[in-house]
Amino acid sequence: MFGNGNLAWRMLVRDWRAGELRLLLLAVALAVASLTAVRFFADRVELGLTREANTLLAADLVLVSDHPVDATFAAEARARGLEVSVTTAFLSMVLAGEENALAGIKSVQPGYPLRGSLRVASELYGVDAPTRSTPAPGEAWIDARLAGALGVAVGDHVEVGDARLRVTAILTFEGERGGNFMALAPRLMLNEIDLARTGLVQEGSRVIHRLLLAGDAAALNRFRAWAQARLARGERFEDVRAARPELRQVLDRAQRYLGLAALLNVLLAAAATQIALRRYVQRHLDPFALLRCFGASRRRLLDLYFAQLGALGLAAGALGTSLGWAAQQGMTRLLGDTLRLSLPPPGWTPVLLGVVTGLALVLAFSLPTLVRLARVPALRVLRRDLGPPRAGALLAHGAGVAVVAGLLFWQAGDARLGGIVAAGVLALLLSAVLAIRLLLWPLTAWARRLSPGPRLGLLNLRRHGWETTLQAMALSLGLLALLLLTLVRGDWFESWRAQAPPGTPNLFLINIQPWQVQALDTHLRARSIDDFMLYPMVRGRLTHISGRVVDPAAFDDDRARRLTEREFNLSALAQPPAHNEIIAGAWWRPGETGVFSVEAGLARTLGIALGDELRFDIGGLPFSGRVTSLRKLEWDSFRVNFFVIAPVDMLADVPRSYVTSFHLPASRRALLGELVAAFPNVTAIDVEQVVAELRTLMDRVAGAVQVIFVFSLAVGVLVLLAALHTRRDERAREIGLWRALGASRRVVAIALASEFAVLGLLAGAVAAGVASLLAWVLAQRVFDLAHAPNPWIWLAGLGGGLALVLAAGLLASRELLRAPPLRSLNRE
Amino acid sequence: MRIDIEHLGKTVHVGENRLDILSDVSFSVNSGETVAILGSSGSGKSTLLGLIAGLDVPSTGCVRLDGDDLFALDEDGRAALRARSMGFVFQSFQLLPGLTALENVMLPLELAGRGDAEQIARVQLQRVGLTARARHRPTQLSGGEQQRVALARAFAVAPRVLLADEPTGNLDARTGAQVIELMFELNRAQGATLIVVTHDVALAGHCARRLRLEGGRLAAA
Ligand SMILES: Nc1ncnc2c1ncn2[C@@H]1O[C@H](COP(=O)(O)OP(=O)(O)OP(=O)(O)O)[C@@H](O)[C@H]1O
Ligand SMILES: [Mg+2]
Repeated sequence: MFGNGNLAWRMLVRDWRAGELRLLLLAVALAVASLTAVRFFADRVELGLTREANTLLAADLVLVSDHPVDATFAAEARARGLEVSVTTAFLSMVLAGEENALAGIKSVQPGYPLRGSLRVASELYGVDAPTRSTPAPGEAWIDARLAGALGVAVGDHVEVGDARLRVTAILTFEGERGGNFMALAPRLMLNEIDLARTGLVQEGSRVIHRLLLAGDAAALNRFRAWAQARLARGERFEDVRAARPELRQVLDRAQRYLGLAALLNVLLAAAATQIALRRYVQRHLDPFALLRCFGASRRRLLDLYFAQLGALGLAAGALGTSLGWAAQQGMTRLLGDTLRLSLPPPGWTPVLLGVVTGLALVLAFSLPTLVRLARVPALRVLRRDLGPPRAGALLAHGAGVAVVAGLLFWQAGDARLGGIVAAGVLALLLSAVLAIRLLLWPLTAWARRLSPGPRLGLLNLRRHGWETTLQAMALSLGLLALLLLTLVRGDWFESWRAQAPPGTPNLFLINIQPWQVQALDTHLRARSIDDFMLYPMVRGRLTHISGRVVDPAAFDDDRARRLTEREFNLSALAQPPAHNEIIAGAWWRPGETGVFSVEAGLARTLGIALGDELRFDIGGLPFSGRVTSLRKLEWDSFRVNFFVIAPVDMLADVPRSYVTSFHLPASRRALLGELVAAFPNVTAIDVEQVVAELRTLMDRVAGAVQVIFVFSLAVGVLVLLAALHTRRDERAREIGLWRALGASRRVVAIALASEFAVLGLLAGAVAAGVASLLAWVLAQRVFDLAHAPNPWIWLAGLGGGLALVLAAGLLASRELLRAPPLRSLNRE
Repeated sequence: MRIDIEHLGKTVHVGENRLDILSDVSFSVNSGETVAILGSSGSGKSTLLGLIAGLDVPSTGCVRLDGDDLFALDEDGRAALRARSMGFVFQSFQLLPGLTALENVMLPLELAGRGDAEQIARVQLQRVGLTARARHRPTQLSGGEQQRVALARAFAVAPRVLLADEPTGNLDARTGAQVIELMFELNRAQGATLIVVTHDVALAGHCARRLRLEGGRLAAA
């Protein structure tokens, strides 16, 4: 209809000037702002964290193969502007004079690694530094373990197959290896050119070829898509999540937490919109009736208001997105240094998200209310009592629910997370209704016996039954967001503290001979290093599982093959190590023998079950035992870990060495020199750099999460305020009336306070209950965290609800309390 | 515009009870005539006015405007008719609180798609003597001023019928008299048919004809 757009626009402008739209625009814009800020920031942090983590993969993406990777892949990658580097790795004996040791040999090209850097020292236990270079032809870089095992120093020569190489550096840090060195062989790194000279890489030898790739994320994805279809048998892609499971956990949790925050922000946005729209509709009943009376058709009014609200939604979306962008820019500026993450520029998805969210929220929530508005009888101009017909609550809000659900799943990026949160919110809304019906209404019946202040307040809650319920819902939703983010964050950070707490061992001593144990113990304790345990270590090969011969080639799984090809580390202990958790079966009783305790991951990989009979070949002798317990342990806990443990008596006569790990503060690095001088055969392995890398990553994740947490808190509080603002007009008239009827300011204040207090307590209780439940489910199902039930949450919920709602409510009503009753009564 | 009301009746059901608000009301108003509808509270005056405006549907009978049955039109058709030819004044003024006086007057003109809405509205405000208050909000105006704005709004679209429900009901006698004066003056100038519902004897006295409702039936005036 010609002129309608124009009129809609003029009406929009007038409504805006009249302040009718400000609250709505503000609510939606803020909601969108929080959502997009979190999303912008989360995107950037995620990219930044992944890039950070990629330094521990040496690349952004790796093509792993059991045969040389076809040259076309590298050529194609280069053509697409990606950096490329090839590594080759295999296990081989390394000789030095009379000594020999099994080592992980790896050939690299200049430019390796593409992400992060190696660290080397010019002598064993010397000061190390990052380097951009790689072993030159004829050179070998070896780690301290290999140096110790071979008894060689920088400048000595070693033999790898047919090649004779000069050791030119001690390799102290290689990102790709992580902290899992106990499960890996010592390292020798050489130049690609020397690889052929070793003569070890032949048809049929077990060699892992890697094509490392780095570059722009989009180009990488396109290359991956291109290559995926061309992969031959035995070739596969690995990213940091696949290659470094312990980092995957950190990154996944970060991603899910950010997802959770975004989800809660969606819900808060929806609540804020819904609240503001209710008020909007209330205030537009009269204009609607009047316009109908002036002859506007229902259809035309719907068009008008729909256009108006659409424009508003778009404006709120755009404004919110800009605000969100500015906020995340501010956060980044403020925290860039603290996070020390080089954050890539924000993407465009959040912009789309913001605008779509603003528009979708406003339209979806206003559609049912508009339809209700359109049904306002024009007769209302003559008879004020005629309001809009009650719409079927469920039907009317179907559109809103659908949009929120859609946004939830879009934002969760994880159907399970979205589903759990959605279920939790439903539970919350139901509990709010139940709490009001079953607790509050009986309470108000009893209120008649109270003094005038509280009685007025409580009865007022009751009088506005439906409004009270809606308010309680909104308030408890806001509080839920606050509590839930706090709880999950608590569980998560708790698990981190457990993983790499300050004082995490950064030094391992291996090859300690039995006759040195006493002396070493004394040596360390004399230097006030007390927090360590000396573990016996026995090397054995697994030969039989329940009578069946173990044949490495029979395993499909790469890891299983690798594990069974080599000997692995067993220990003999009376007690389970403190950082191990028995997850199946039971530890042995004193005196029991012929039993083993197996690490759960190994058991899973090799298909070992509780009760299976294992046979090991240890120093040529067979040792059998039944598996009586499975242990779970954190491989990255930087403690001495064993795949298999036997009772002390069982391995009493087997040749063994001892290992230990402890924390050596940087300031006492000199002790290391004394130590290796006093125990020349002992090898010290410094994992400080590995601990530091992991800790840095975690600190950054924690910092980022903290920011988003605080931001979400702010939005939660905002929604609380908006919820309290809904009945403002009506409340003003109520207060005016009470005052006009002779209630003193004090009585009115008490009435308001008791109303807000009861509402706050109720919302707090509901939120705390649902938050505890939801935190538990999320910890179990989504975050894979141990959840410690936290009774404080009830205190926080009740106290927080009471304090927040009371303070905000009274603050918002302060002006109404002070205004002369007449003004309040005359309010429109 | 000539108005014929024929056997108009309105019955509502409240629970079990049947309530006859209007029964068998018939009368005619000639084009340009002024008629007052009197009656005690609850006698059905507002209901009758709502029916004449087509805001509600009668249970029996019909309303003819220049001979055409108003209720032959559907809701939207009646709305369009109202937009074309009816003006309203209410006891509670019904100005939109968010809009200025000028904007309130412009509203029906804009709904009719008039490009000159603002000029007309200004002229109308001038005619009711409120040029100086054009930018004021209803809350900043007195009751009499608000009703004058409502009059300006009602006459802005040059209605052929003006329906007023107790236009002076919320005003004191002096202000009421001024408003009545103004209303009849505007009516004379534009030649609209005027139907006023009122308790106010002074107002009724200004009308050419008076009808009395008693318990939903027309009584001899
Ligand atoms: N939809 C309805 N449902 C029930 N009762 C109604 C309805 N509409 C009107 N009434 C009743 O019909 C009667 C007449 O109402 P109406 O508003 O027409 O009276 P009135 O003459 O305008 O009174 P007043 O002078 O007080 O404005 C009243 O008793 C009113 O309560
Ligand atoms: Mg009436």
